[in-house]
Amino acid sequence: MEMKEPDAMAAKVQHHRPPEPGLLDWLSSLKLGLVLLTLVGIASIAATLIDPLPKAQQLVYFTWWYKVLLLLLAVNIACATWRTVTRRVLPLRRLRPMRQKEYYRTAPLRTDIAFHGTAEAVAQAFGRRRFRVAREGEFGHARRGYLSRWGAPVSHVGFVMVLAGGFLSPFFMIDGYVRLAEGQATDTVHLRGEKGGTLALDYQVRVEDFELTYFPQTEMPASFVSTVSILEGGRTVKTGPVEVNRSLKHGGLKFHQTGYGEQPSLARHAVELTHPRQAPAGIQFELSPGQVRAVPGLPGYEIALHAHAPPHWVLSGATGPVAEGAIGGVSGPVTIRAERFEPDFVIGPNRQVGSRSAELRNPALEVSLIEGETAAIRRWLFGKPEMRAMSHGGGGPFDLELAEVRGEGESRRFVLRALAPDTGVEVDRAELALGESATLGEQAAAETPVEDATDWRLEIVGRAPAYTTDLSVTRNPLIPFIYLGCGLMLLGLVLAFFVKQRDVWFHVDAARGRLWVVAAYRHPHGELDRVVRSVVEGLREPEAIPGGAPAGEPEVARAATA
Amino acid sequence: MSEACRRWRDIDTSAGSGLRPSYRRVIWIAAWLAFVAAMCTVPARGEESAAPAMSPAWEAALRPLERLPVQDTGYVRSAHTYARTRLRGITGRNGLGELNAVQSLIWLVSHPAAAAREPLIRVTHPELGSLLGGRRTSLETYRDGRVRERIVAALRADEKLLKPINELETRAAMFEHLEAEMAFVPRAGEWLSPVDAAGRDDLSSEERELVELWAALKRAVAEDNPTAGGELARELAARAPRLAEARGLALPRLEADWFYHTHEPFRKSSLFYLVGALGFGAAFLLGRRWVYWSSLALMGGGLAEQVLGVGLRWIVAGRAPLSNMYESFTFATAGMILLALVFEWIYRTRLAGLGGTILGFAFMVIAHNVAIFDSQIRPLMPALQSSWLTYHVVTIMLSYSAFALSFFVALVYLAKEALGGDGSVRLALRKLPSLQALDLFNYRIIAVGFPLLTLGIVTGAIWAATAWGRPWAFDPKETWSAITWLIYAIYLHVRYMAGWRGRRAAVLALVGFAAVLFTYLGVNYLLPGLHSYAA
Repeated sequence: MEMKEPDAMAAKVQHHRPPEPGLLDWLSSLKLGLVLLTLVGIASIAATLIDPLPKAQQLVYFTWWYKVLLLLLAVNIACATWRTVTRRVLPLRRLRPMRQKEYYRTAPLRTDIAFHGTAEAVAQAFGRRRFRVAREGEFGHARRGYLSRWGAPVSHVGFVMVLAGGFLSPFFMIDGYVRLAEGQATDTVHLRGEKGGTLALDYQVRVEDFELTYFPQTEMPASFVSTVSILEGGRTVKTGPVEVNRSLKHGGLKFHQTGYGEQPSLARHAVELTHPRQAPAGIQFELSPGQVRAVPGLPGYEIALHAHAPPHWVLSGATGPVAEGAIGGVSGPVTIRAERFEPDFVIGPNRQVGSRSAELRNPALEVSLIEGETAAIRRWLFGKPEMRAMSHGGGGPFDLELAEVRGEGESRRFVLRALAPDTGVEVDRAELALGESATLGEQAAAETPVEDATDWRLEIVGRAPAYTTDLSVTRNPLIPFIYLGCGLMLLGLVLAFFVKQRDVWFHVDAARGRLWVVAAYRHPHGELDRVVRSVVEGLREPEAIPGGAPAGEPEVARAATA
Repeated sequence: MSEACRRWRDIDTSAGSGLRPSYRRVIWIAAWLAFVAAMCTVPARGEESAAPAMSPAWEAALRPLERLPVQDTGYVRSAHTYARTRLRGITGRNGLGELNAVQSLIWLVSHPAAAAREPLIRVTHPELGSLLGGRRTSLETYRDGRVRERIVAALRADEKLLKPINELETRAAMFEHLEAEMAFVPRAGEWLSPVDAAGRDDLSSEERELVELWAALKRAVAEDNPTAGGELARELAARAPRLAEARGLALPRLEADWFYHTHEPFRKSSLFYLVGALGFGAAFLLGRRWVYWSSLALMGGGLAEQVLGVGLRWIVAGRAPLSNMYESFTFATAGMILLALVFEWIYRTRLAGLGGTILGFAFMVIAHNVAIFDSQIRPLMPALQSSWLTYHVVTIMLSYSAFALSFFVALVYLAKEALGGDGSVRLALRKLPSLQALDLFNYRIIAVGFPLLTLGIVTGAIWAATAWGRPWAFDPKETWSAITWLIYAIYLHVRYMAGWRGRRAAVLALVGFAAVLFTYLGVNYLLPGLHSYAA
């Protein structure tokens, strides 16, 4: 927006160059700027009242009219800045001594003293105080702090750059996420925002480890750190920690730690193996479903936790299995019905569920858990490995997963897995089409648990939770441009508010032996400032006035601050 | 300095310089200092006398126990801090009747039956108060089956009671676990409370001794034997730190924690501000230079207390104390006082001093009496563990400080204008700067606050980009800070370009501060988003 200057020089220049009417006038007008600022403010206030944020983005921030408002605001500021620079900054760069003597007697901020020196001496006095000085005969113009005039244009240019950066960012930026469990890898990034979809990477991202620590004797997380590896052609090229406020960069992308969640089916169990003679104190170690591992402290023995129903373990020695037994319980079967399928699941602005596309990018099946003849609970089961953790919990005796989608169109069939919630062991699986029902876990519930006939005992004594980690994946090549805009804004504000521009016109009236000084400031000023006063005081010389009264007191007229 | 400001200062200065030394002045100074000293030495105690009582000898006997290290919510604190925090949580006070915090704690755990009968648990909701027989209830009453039934019935009738009931339940649980959560037995990598230790059979002899000393101390309190109790408290307070150091558990901040919670610098600062505000008021009316300088000194004293408080919290927490509402609010108050002192130094308007001290006192009273400001030092959540927190919060809070001062000046402007303006014959109004000077002064304050707000928003955006990869996410707090920025930008533009001065500019400054308040407080509680943790 165009800035008006209060000082006399500005008024003079404006007088000679009246603003030309037209489109530029309208675009750079204060009224337009204020109207736009007000509209943007009102729209933003309204948007903050909309919950949740994605809905507010859909209804306000990402709408065409909000963008048009911001674009118009940027144009308004750019035009006003152009006019300010061409009319009020550059033209005033030249120093112009004021030759109208009357001005020195009527200007709002003025003083005069007895002075019998030369205009050159006055110019030198101002020059010593870092004023730039131009002199024409007995008249002179001294200026300090001209950079202040650049304050408003520079900050406005900075603001326009920030707006432009924000406006153009969606066209250049990548903003997505990956959700991975410990040990999992992916080369697909799910994109957020208006575009949606996925981004295929030419390398793989693998989460090696996820570490969650708590403050002592609290449940407050002290830190959560993912150790992430980048694999190119199966070879690890980079490994590093990713935590909040500490990202990992690779291939122009940044990986940020944003959140985490538990993955029950991948949980490691702390188990204790006991035997009256061979392990009387018990041997504790970790065991995951499907894992076969050596028993620590018992050379030649290995133990397996079977990943299929019924959940049981097998201890083998050098000669073969020596013991086996049930672990974890399986409660009754569950009947489910496939209700609805979305190939590319997305939650819309009004929380309505739908598909972004017909491709199998994020397959999700809604199922009902049926009790008697009524559907008691409805849940969404996800097909993508990193999304499966979201299917777990939420009622029912099992954790359910969408394992596979077969066929296309109406002939599509869905393979479901039921996992024992305490061990993560697969209990059952079923294949069904939309509208069909299937009962899962019937056989496992009916099966006789594996009885252990020996003295070996294996018990779950604890659980080391497995986590999924949420990594935000971003790239915005315009960030340096936006930061430059921010820097210019701040520089402009510092110039505008903290650099004082002083314009001083002086006239040495040799005939009367007086020095006349007039000052003008960019910001409202009630009196001559300290620097100008000190220069004038330094030039003062004693003079006698008939009557004996002390003479030489400057006649300082203080102006209204308007 | 503007014409109006300068002229006004000159008048007052001349009035001050004309005063001759006299007995009256000496009496004034003495009375002033006595008042200040009295205010500063008033200890923060419980307000009402309750049944729990101990013989006076216990105060000295239990004093060594105040420095007993206790592991609590992520920090090793002094027992004094632990006791105070828990008592405030349960009762809303720092002690029971005449007992200090540690005395109260030891009394409660030594007399469990009597403690359960005492009406100590604070009830804030009036409807629950009517069910529980007043604003305080006993644990016995609260746990009574019939009372529980009535509470459940009330909850069924009005779901809004869920939150106050949960708060009440938290207080009751805090009461019940007072001893169980007092973890002062140091072990390798963990701390045990005497209740935890009772269930362990793997304690070392030193650990067992600490538990036995505690049990003996409780018996001594129950038998009202302060001589034995004093010995036991000394022994316990001496052995626990030694054992902690032997176990490799460092206790570097214990002294700072104890001093911070016993000295209470932020509360002390509010007293300085109160007296300073009265002083500035007197300086306005009387025009005495020495009153003005005394008030400035009091304001400086209040700032020194605040700086001490911020420094101690920094040492205790091991991080910049800018992570929650209490910390940012106290920092903003300190920043406002600093700005007021700077403005006083430059312009000598007395208005900055008066506004700074009045608002400083009000802010400190609010910080210590409104529930949303939790003064407990807590660990920093991962999202806030960044040096950008300091840059962002410091700049934003300093800008809010400037806007608070601007709000005060705008109010004074409107009040003066409404009561007759510069031509008023009222003494108080005549002593105020002219309307023009007030308007200009307000502009100068906003000219400081606006660049700071801009810097604060920019540092916040850079931090967001560092943490989440996006400088701007349209989070409600971000949007509201932008709205606040827009309002002050409009203020500056209409002032320059449309010549808005006086009333219109003052009203716009008030609107700007309303936006500041909403951004700072309203968004956290009414519009949850990324910054909701700031509460």
